[in-house]
Amino acid sequence: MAIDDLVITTSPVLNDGKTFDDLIDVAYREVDLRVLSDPEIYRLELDRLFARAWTVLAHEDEIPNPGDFVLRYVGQDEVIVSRNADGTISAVLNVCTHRAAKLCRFEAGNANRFTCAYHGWAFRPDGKFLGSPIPREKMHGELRSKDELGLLQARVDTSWGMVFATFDPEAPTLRDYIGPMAWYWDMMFGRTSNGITVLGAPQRFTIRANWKCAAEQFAGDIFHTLNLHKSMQELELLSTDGPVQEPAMAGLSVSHNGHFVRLFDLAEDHYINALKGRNLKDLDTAERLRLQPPPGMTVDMIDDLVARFEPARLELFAEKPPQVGQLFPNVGALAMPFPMPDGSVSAFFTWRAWVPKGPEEFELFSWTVVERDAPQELRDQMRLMTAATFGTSGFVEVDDTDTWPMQTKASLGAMGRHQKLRYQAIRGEVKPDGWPGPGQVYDGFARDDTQWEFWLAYLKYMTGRPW
Amino acid sequence: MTAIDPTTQTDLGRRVRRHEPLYGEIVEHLEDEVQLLDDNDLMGWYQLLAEDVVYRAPVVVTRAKGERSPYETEMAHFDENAMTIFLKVMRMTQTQSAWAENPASRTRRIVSNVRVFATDVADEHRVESSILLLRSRYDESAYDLLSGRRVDRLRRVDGGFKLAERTIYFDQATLGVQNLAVYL
Repeated sequence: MAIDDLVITTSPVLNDGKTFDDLIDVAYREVDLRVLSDPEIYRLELDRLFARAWTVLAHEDEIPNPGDFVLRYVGQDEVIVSRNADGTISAVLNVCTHRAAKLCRFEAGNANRFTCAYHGWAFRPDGKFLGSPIPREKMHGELRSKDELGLLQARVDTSWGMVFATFDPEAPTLRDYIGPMAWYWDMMFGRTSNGITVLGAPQRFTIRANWKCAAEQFAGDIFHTLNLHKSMQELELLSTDGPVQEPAMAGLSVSHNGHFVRLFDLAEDHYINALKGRNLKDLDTAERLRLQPPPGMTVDMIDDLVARFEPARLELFAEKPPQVGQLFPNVGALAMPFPMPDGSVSAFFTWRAWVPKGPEEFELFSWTVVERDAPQELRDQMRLMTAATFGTSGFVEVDDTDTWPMQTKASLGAMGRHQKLRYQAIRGEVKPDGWPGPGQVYDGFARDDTQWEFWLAYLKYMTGRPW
Repeated sequence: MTAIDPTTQTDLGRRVRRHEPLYGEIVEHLEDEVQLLDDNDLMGWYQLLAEDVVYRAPVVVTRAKGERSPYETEMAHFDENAMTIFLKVMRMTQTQSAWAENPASRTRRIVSNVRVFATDVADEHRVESSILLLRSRYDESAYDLLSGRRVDRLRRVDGGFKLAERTIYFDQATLGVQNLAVYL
């Protein structure tokens, strides 16, 4: 029995008689702050959202060989992510089907079977029950067949080498789940034939905040970058025109079912000035990409890039590449350039997951990502710049992780829990003429629209109608 | 860039004994260094770093006993050189909106179990120390706590010392803190 008990197609009524339609006010675009800490809501999220949505667990290169495994989380459920003998990847609940001990106690390793330390029941990495010790004592009895005693299996699929899982048999395929967003995300993580890899196990650290503080922000909060991250402007990292210049944040946002991606306009760019002073119109796209390869790429990779993408997206690589996004509900990614003091351009690339650990706490998993083809020097540089900007010690994200707990704490008060998260800066869908890409498109400064769509997607899951 | 694993390091150089003057000098240097950090004097602290400093804290993965090192070779919580540290020090000291440390945390770093070893380089010593960081933010009564073993390469320069390399081996696989906006 997997998720069947949990699939409730009606909107739940909370203890005080309210429903999620009361908490998420579509007319005023407001969300009751209590969603950030209410234990009842948190339980419902684990069942209705995290057990059903596709969430990310690992990169396949973390478990390259048969038997390799890592422990990760689907919501608050710990799973063993293993490379099977046939090369496929499985994810099974790390809960022994006998008496619920933690079957595998190691976060990473290699095993062709897992034997529970408590009473000795043994399982294959794909979850198949192999048997219990002392057969003549019939420890696992005869009431349940061995087939019924296997570990609970998640559905597993990969995109860009990242391993995703869901416990919902009714969920669409991962490809359909990501849908039109793949058109854009391919431009961040599917640029080369050999694809991306990660530099090892992710950073993991604890934030005493609700997971949605990070998730609603990564759904497209452009405004916060101008204020919370103002030190970037003060250091003249965002603006090339001095510290007082307000960045135009030119670009375009796209959303779909709560997923988000932001494309940055390089022509009015505040990050790179490598192309400054050049007449871009005189150069063809491939020439421009060779002159200034996309962040995290070398000139050597451009032929591959040009072969993999049609002209419309090649044009976007040169003019308006996607650089940040989130796959609903809790999988963020950045693929950004970083201007180095010597005038060159480095990059920071990361995948991250906001893994819930209770109503008032989440764990941030942060992987550093590079092209598999990246030469050592580029790999080292991106390792440094990703750690310097995002993750545990990154000087951008430290300001976020200090702020998210404040929102969560605010939601605990008798008055505070009835305050609102507001998304009333409305842009409305604005698709430029001839825009080649799919999804809901917001040209320019996207305001709050894509963040609001995060909440609309959330509402669908919480009211039992995600698909 | 191979992370030294303090749990497997066996080819240590000559131990500098506690009664030797050099040992006392090095301990005093470590004490002065943490005082600068506790006092939030980041510019002063930056002066104690060598230009080629490597400052890292590898990611920790819980593995079976006797298996490979729990410390990742590439992934790290801190992964810094003089440029990235300078950038952060500038942000913390020269801007008004480095919110992760504005208001500043109150911090206390406890350094102990100092062991000093000679290295192949005459002017450099391997200095190991245990560190406990207590960090208090806002009016919260709960501390951010971090403990670990530091393995430094300390270089004698003009009568003083400069930090050429520091690797912090944290004890937690999942750090129990929201960020590392402070150094240790």
